Amino acid sequence: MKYAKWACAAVPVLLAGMLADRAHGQEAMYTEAATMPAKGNWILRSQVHFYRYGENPLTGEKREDKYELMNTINVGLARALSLMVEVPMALSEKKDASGDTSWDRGVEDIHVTFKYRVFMENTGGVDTTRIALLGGAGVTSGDDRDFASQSVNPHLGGVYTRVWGRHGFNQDLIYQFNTGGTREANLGGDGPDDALNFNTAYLYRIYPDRFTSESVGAWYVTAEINGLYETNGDVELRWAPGLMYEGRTFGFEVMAQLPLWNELDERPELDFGVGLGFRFLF
Amino acid sequence: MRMHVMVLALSMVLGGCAGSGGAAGVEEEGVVHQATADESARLKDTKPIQATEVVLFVNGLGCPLCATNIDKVLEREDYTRSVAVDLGMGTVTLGLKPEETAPSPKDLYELVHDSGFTLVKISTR
Repeated sequence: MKYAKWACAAVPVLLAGMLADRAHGQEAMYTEAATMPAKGNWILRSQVHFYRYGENPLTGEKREDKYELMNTINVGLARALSLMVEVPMALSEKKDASGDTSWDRGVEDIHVTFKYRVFMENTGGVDTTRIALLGGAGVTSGDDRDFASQSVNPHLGGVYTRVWGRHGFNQDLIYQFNTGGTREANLGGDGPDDALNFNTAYLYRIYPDRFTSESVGAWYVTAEINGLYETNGDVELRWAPGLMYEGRTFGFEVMAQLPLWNELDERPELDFGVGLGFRFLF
Repeated sequence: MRMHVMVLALSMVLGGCAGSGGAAGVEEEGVVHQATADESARLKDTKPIQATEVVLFVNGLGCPLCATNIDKVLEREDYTRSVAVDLGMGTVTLGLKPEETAPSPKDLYELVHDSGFTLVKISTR
């Protein structure tokens, strides 16, 4: 059954692959893109996420609801170099085996990431292919161990973006060297084990079907597969359909995140997640 | 099972969108700018442009938000009077202040490249 889910949800991503010689990509919610603000430009991105998790095999807690506010500042530093700082704030509600609930809130690790574009080929008015390298670290906010890792965790990776016509495709691969964190508080990539994130996003411009001289914005449907492997053997695939609008100086996005397939022994499974985000370019 | 059905339905909807090619059933061809040898050579010219308006033919304007990178960068230049991006034509029309020293084609080529796009050719008015 788990594999049937995977097969069904993979359809749009496979379609993206088949159409890949004609597509172009913007940035979906959970997948990186090889695009960046030009030198001196700023992008402020604010996202609200809700995740519901099932039973935690290590603590015995029956359920955890996590509300997360992720604020990101992205600034262009040079021709092909940008800096991104992500500050996630979280609110967590846990239900234990006896049915009692407890609330906690805090600031999670702050992620600082440099993005360096190593390849760019612009082949048409809207067509582009780009590759960027990513490097940085998650730095503890100093909050308690339920939210912050009390450590510095370097990460390294890359991202490929292609936009062609109405289509976009992004693929990232990011390895995080975790040096802190606890297994009990880990909801995915936050524990003491290293983590490999691999995310695929397909975007399709539903309106306008053709840009004109009057075009000032565009609507996209998005489909993502979000993968996470941890060196303790836990592996998970999530499926994230969404809708996105991009104007000339702002954008917004709404997403759902659903489980596809997993083999998790040391952390709870995701029941579902939803997200809402805004972007502003200065 | 409910999750399975929901994922399947979403896959079909998105898969259908991806294959439909839009309401007209025609895939967007899109603008592809090309330049002659003379037009390409002109982009290396370092002499200031003698005009009040320059049309930049740009490749890579992949999305509305991305294209704003050019607006913002050009607006910071002293010589800029106005900037208008046309996503349909893949052009950026740059109005120049007559009282300021105009940029050269090479200046504009590098500025567009720094913004993450490719300047293919220019025309002046």
